Order: sequence, then C-alpha cells, then structure tokens
Amino acid sequence: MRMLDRKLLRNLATMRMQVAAIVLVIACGVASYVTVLTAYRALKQSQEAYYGRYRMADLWAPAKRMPRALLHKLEAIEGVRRLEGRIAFDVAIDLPVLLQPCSGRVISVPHRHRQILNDLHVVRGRWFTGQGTREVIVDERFADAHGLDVGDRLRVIMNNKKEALTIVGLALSPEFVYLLGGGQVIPDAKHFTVLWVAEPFAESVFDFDDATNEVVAALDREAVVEDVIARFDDLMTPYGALGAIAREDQLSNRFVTRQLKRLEGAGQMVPITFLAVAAFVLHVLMDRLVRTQRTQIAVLRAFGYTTGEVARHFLKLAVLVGVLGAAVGCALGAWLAGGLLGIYKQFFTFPMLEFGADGTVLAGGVLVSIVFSVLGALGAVRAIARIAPAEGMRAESPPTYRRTLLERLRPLWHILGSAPRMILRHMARTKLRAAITITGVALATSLIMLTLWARSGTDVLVNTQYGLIERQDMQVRFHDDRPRSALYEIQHIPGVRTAEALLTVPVELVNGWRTRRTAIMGLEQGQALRALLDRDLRHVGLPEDGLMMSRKLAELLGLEVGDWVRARVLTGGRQRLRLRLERIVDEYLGVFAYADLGRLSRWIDEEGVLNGALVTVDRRQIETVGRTLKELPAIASVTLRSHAIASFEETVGETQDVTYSVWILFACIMTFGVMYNAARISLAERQRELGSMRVLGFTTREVSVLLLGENMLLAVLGLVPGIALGIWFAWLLAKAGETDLFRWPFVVHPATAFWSVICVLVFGLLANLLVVRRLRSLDLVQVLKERG
Amino acid sequence: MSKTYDMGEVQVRALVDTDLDVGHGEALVILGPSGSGKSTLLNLLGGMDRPTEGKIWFRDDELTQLDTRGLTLFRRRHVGFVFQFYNLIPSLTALENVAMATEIAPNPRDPREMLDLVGLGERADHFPAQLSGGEQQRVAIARALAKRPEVLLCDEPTGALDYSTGVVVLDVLRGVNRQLGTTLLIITHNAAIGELADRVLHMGSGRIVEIRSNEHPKEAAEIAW
Ligand SMILES: Nc1ncnc2c1ncn2[C@@H]1O[C@H](COP(=O)(O)OP(=O)(O)OP(=O)(O)O)[C@@H](O)[C@H]1O
Ligand SMILES: [Mg+2]
Repeated sequence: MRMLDRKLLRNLATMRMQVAAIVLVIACGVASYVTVLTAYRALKQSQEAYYGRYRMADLWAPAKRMPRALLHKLEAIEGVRRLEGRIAFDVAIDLPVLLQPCSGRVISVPHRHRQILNDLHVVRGRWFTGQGTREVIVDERFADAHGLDVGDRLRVIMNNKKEALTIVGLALSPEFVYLLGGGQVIPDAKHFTVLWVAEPFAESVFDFDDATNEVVAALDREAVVEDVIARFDDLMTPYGALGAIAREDQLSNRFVTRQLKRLEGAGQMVPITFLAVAAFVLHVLMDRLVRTQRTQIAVLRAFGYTTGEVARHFLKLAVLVGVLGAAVGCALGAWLAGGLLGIYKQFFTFPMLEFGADGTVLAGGVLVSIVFSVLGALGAVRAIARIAPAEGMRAESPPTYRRTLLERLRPLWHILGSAPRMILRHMARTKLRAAITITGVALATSLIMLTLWARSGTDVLVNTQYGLIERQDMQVRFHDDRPRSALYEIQHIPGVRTAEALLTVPVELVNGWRTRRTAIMGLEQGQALRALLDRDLRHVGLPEDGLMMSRKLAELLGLEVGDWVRARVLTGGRQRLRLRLERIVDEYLGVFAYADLGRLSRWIDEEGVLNGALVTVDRRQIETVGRTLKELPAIASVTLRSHAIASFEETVGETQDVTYSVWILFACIMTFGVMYNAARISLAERQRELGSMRVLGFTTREVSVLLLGENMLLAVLGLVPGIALGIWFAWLLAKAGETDLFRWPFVVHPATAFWSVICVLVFGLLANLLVVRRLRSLDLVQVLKERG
Repeated sequence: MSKTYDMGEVQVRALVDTDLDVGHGEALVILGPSGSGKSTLLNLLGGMDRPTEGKIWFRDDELTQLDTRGLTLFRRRHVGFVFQFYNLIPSLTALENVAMATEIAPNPRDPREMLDLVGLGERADHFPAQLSGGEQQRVAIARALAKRPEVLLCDEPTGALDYSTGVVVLDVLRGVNRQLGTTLLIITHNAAIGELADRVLHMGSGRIVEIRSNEHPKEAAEIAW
C-alpha cells in the first residue's frame, strides 16, 4: 500500500485548497465544540468544587426577627443536616467618589473563624480581631472596582446610623458567584456589594441581641426539599418569615446553573451544524474524486486490489481531513476557551477557576471530527464497489442532460440566453450538490442572522426598557414605609423636577400549584414615569382595582385576564388577598405586578403609605441631588437610570460583540468553504466546456460570468431559506432564553437580514473569484486535447 | 515562425522556422506523423497560442501583436474550430450549441440553417449525449460555421469516426468551403484525405517538408481509405 499512500498524498496536494476550505469548516465546528465545552467543564467543575469546599447552603430562610432559641427547633426538622442563624440587612454605602449611594447587603459571620455554611474565601487580609467591632470584610469585586484595600475605611449606613468600618479582609462567597443587587439585572460590582461583619458587632448595631433574621441550612442528601421548606415556613411564620428558598431558586445559583445549561446546549448545536456542513461538502469532493479516478480505480481493481483495500485508501483521505480539521479546531478552541472563560469571569466569580486544555474535550473533538469526515466520505466510497474493473477502461460518454421543468414555461425559457440555460440545466443535473450548497449557505445565513439578531435584541431591550418604560432619572427606595410627606421632602430638594410615589410590596402569588415570589408595584393613577405598554407599545391604563402583571409573570402563574390569584404579603401584616388579574403589560426585564397605589396600601392596611419614589431631575443638577439624597438616612438605595443603561450596554453589549464576532466569522468561513468547493468542482467539471467556449471567442470575462452566475445563483437561493431559518432560530432562542430576569425581544429588523445577506454574498463572491481567477490561466490547447 | 516548449532541461522545438501563406477560400490539408507540429501550427494560426519567434498576419492585422483579449476577439470574429473530440456543451441541445456561438458573433448565420447544412435539422432538440460521434462532429461544424468565420480550422475532425461517418463529415466540410467560400485547414493522419484539398502540406519534425498542389481536388465520396 506504500504507493497508494503516495498517491493519496499527491491527491491531497492537488486538492489542497479545497481540502483546506473543508478543514477550515471542520475546524470551526471543532473549535466551537472545544471552546464551549472546555469553558463549560471548567465552570461546572469550579462551581462544584467551590460549593463543596465552602459548603454552599441548600436552603435560605429569611424572617423579620426570630430568637436564636428557634434555631434548635429548626435544626430538629427532618432532613436538616446543619443549620446556622445569621443577621442580614440591606444597607446603604457612602462612598465620596460615587454620585449615587451604593447599596450593600450586610451578613453576619462568627467573629472567630470556624467552618460555616457559605464560608468565605478570604482573598486578602484576615478575619476579625476580638469582637470585630467596626470591622468589615468586603467582597473582593467591590474593593477592586473602587481600588479599596485592607486598612481602608468604608462608611455604611446601618440601622439609620452612619458607621465608619475598617476593611480587614477581601473575600468571595459561593452564595454570590453571580452578584446581583436588588433591582439590578446584571452584576454591577461598583454599586452593590456584600459586607461581612462579626456577629457580636451585628447584634449590637442592629439591636439583634440573641436574635437572627436569616437561617441557612444544609440538608441531607435524601431530604425532600419541599417538605423541609413547608416545615420551615410553619415554624417561622410567627417571626415574619419571608418564605424559605431552596438552592435551585437561589438567585446566584439559579443564574449560574441556567447559564451553564445554555452553554452546554450551544456546545452541541453549533458544532453539529458546522460538522454536518463540512461532511456534506466533503461528500461532494470525494464523490468528484472517485468519479474522476474511475479509471485509476478500475486499474487498481484489475491489478488485484480488493474493493476494501481501495475503499480504505479513500477513507484514509477523509480521516486525514478530519484529523487536520480537529488539530486546527482543537488549537483554536483551546485558545478561544480562555477568551470565553474570561467573559464568563466578568459575571461569575469563582476563587479557583482553573482553566487548562481538557483532554476529554479535545479527544471528543477529534473523535466527532473524524466521525463526520468518514460519514461524509462514505457515500462516495461506497460507489467504488460499483466500479467494475473492466468498466473503468471505457471512456465516459458525455454527461446526460435533460430538459428542466422550467422549460415547460416556453415563453420564459425562450428569452433566456445560452448561459442561463446552461446554468439551469447544470443545476438540475447536479441536484444533490446544488442542494448541499444551498443548505450550507442557508445555515451560514441563519447563523449570522441569529447572531446579529441577538445583538440587536440588546439594543431593542435597552431602548424599550430604558427609553420607553422606565422614564425616571432615579428610583429611590426608603428603608421602610413612609407617609406621603416623604414624597414632598424629595420634591423639595433643589434640582428635583418631579417625584412620583411608589409602593413596593413583596408578595407570593399563588395559583393552584404555581407560586411565584415577586413584588407588587403600587403606582398612582396618572403617573408618567413608568410607562405600561402592551406588545405593540401602546399604553395600557392602570386598573382602579385588581392587578396588572407582565405577560411573563402571568404565563409563569398560568393566569389569564379575568382569573383570580391569591397573594400572600410577605412583610408587615402578612395579609392574604384574592386579586383579579385585570390587565397584562409587556416588559423585557424582571417580572412585576402592578396595582393602584391607594388600593395597594389599603390591601396592606396602611392607607396612604409609600416606600419609594420615581424621580426626574434637572440634568445639570444630578450630582447635587445625588449628594442630598445620600445624606437622607431614610433612603435605602438610589438607582440611576443612566447608569443602569451604561452598565447594561457595557457588560452585555461588549461581551456580545466579542463572542458574536467569532460566531459571525465562523459562519463566514462556512460560507467560504461551501462556496469555494462548489466553485472548484464546477470549474473542474466544466473546464472543457468553458475551454471550447473560449476557443469559440468568448472572453474570459464572459466565461467567468457563467461560472460565477451558477454559484452565486445557488448562494442567492440559499439566502432565502437562510433568512427564514434565521428568523425561526431567533424565535426559538427568544423562547428558550426567556427567564424571569430577561426576555429577549423577538424583533427582527430588516437590517439584520440585510447584513447577513451582505456577509454571505461577500464571502461567497470571494470564494468564487479565487476560483474564477483560475480561468485566466486555463490552457485552451491542453484542455481540448483530452478526450471527453 | 517558431514554437519552442521550454520543459526545463529539455527544449521541445515543436515548430522550426516555418513560413506559410494561405489564400482566401483555399482548402488546405496538413499531413504528417505524430508529433510533427501540425496541431501547433494550426493553434498558432487560429490565435489559440503564440509563437516563440516570428510573426503571423491575418490580412493586415498582425496577430502576434495582439494581447489575450485581442486574440479572443480575433477568434470570435474570424475563426471557427473543429476538434477531434467535438467539445460540444453537454447541457445545451444541438440547436442551442449552435445558437450559443451566434450570441457573440457580429454577423451570425441562422443556427437552424447551419444544422440543415450539416444534415441535422431533424435532431435540433437533441442533447449531445443523444447523438452519435459523427452527428456530434457535424453539430460542432455547424457551431463553428454559425459565426460566419472566414477560416475554419479542423484538427483531426474524422479521427474519432469510422469511415463512412468520416466521409459524411468531410463532405460537409468541403461543401462549406465551396459554397460559403470559407478558407479550410484540415489536419489529418490520412493521406487519402489530401485528395480533397487545393494544396497538401507535409510536415515533419516541426518543419514543412513539402507543399503539393492538386489540380483536380476530388469529392469526399470519391476517396477511399
Ligand atoms: N504543451 C506542450 N508542452 C511541451 N511539449 C509540447 C506541448 N504541446 C506539444 N508539444 C510537443 O510539440 C511537438 C509537436 O506537437 P503537436 O501537438 O503539434 O504534434 P502533432 O503533429 O499535432 O501530433 P499528433 O498527430 O500526435 O497530434 C511534439 O513533440 C509535442 O510533444
Ligand atoms: Mg495534433
């Protein structure tokens, strides 16, 4: 077989450009597989290791205030393995450099370090000294964002008193891998952080002697979480329980887990698309190779080589292509995985995110690559068996063409010149190949569309949410319920233009077995700062009575307009209400319910109260207003809209730009690979034909147009289903990507389709021009000397 | 003119200092052993290739001065080619193959008439795969003629055909030369075909060895081999 191997290498050398194009497409597939799976496994392993080593809790149970003595009763609940009480409060942090007050969550930990649930990974500094009075350990991300370090002071408004705390350590916790403050949609380490203080200090600051307001628990492996939650809620209700939360519903964990799942999904779909396209293109190439080498194969068979031996020889070529693609793909993937992980690191923080080339993933990449290559070659190789030793010796008669269906339309056909006729008949004869090219182009188009759509979705989301729905400059939250006069105070701050009352009441909505914890936002009739819009962006009036909710919330609860829903108020009087769903609004961020503010305050038996405000400010005085608001101890947090927009675009937008550029590049390579091979094979097959046209006096340009015309026609035919497919994918992704935090707007701009088409046409044309260039050096004499 | 193929170490002198005049409307047959430079000569005359040395004129135009595009236009306007292996476009019917040539010619002939001329009017709608070798060759001739060329160059037009089919094809070619006044150059290995010609050219080792004039050219049907 030594000579056969040499022949194999020569074949490979003559087809090197085509092989390279296929190798590139395979490489894209393998690279996306390796990238995504390496990142996935690294994140998954980090998550598991982090949770394990730092004892991530299984259950969180917040309440208003409960005696520590209750902990013993809770600990006795079946299924509870371990349990700890802690004190946790939302606080405002006062940083002179920051215009808007930033908020934080204070959590108490034992003053002497011992192993606890949700343990801290101390990055720098140390644990507390003595009772830990006025000492704080802050989240490392917050310290980094502000250039703070151990020894620095931090002013925190705790229990309405401003305390100057000394930072003794910087730490991370498994509870906050994905760190999201109240009202935030994406992490913003600059304006939200976790602060850990020593228990004795927390007790004295919050007047919580021998009391706690949050329990975290680890459960037995076989514990039934729902039952445990029910028991917790029972025992804790007298103490103002807000309802226990299982790990799977814990904000950070839920988000990380969901993202990992999506990543895993992408790690399968995208590579398969690329590898399938590569396999099809390889099929076309191998098919052509076997056909042109019919005589050679017949000679080999005549010499006494078995069909199996000859088939193996051709399969070797496919395996080689697969291995080459895998090699390039693995290298590229390993490199890109670092980048992808870097992006995830912006959102998810693991103390020990170890990244290295993952042997299993690489091996998997090589394996799938070879499998798809062999699958691609199989059809052509099977044809070898059908070549009889004697048959190959006969010359092939001219390829048989038939009239196409289109020719039935006589008048139309007659206006076509020879070139279009040749193109159409050729396409009709090589239907499978045409179909493969069209499919490849369609998939590439849809991939680009999908990517561009997702990117434009971010803009739509930002524009709608922050341009149309949220119209305030600032949203203020008070620490507790206030009388209406609080609103007047804000209105009188110089620079404030308008302030509208807001009453946010945390509730659990229940419809049969479906429950959802959210908040009812009470707004005043005639308010102007929160636009309530339907799907077509038309204003929906706030109902006088009953509830209004975002479509997603209604969906999650299985509600339709007119249905009744039960609501358990989670604070204050803990009322139980039965409310009618009156209207539905469409929103992209969060899941909220709305009600008339007056009505809502009566439902909670506190007529006329409010606990927040939506504020518009004179643009030039934003700073002054911010500073003044900071001074007010009653205010728990202030959120600037402009800041929310900026951070959204910065984090989400920039991240998308990077990842999406890679996807688009890959899709363009796919277009190139498909089109280049189609063009090369077309050229090879029609060399004589084009040569005789040149002899007749057709110019190179005229002949090029013929070749270009055929391939670009295929590309155009692929664009149409590609766009449709892209829209469908976008719809699927929009559906699949719906969470209670985000909804991706399913709005497809014509520009999305336009740029996808441009990408595909440019790369398709590029591939074709590279091939058509060869026509210039076509040796006419040589071409025509050979027999047909 | 001369044509030398540079093959690295060896140089193949395909055509050596050859000088030739072809008259308008003449029928010329080129004979010679394999490798003697017949095709090379024909390709140079037809503007398919360039000589290494020397000059070629078509009327007052010097072909050797033309660039690739100029040569293409020369072929387009003045030359028809017929090859041993027909080289029809398999995806076009007989009529369409002929019509295709007329699309680029300034003053073409009617494709249907050309098919009638070669006796294939009935087979106009057949694809090459549905035609015999001789029929394909006749379509190729019709295609070459449809452009109304002044010169028809044929490289072994009967090489792939049997005797009687060959006679039909030669008859067509001779008829074209007589009736339409097209200058005709035919390469062949078959000395008998020389009897059709006004002049017979013998080549050997890249040179013209002998030129012989025929006082009384015969009809295709009269010759035998
Ligand atoms: N492209 C080429 N490269 C190198 N040598 C060539 C090339 N084409 C022709 N030759 C050489 O030039 C010489 C003349 O070739 P040509 O094709 O003109 O011969 P011919 O008389 O037409 O022969 P035949 O009757 O076999 O067709 C031959 O020795 C041939 O080997
Ligand atoms: Mg020859």
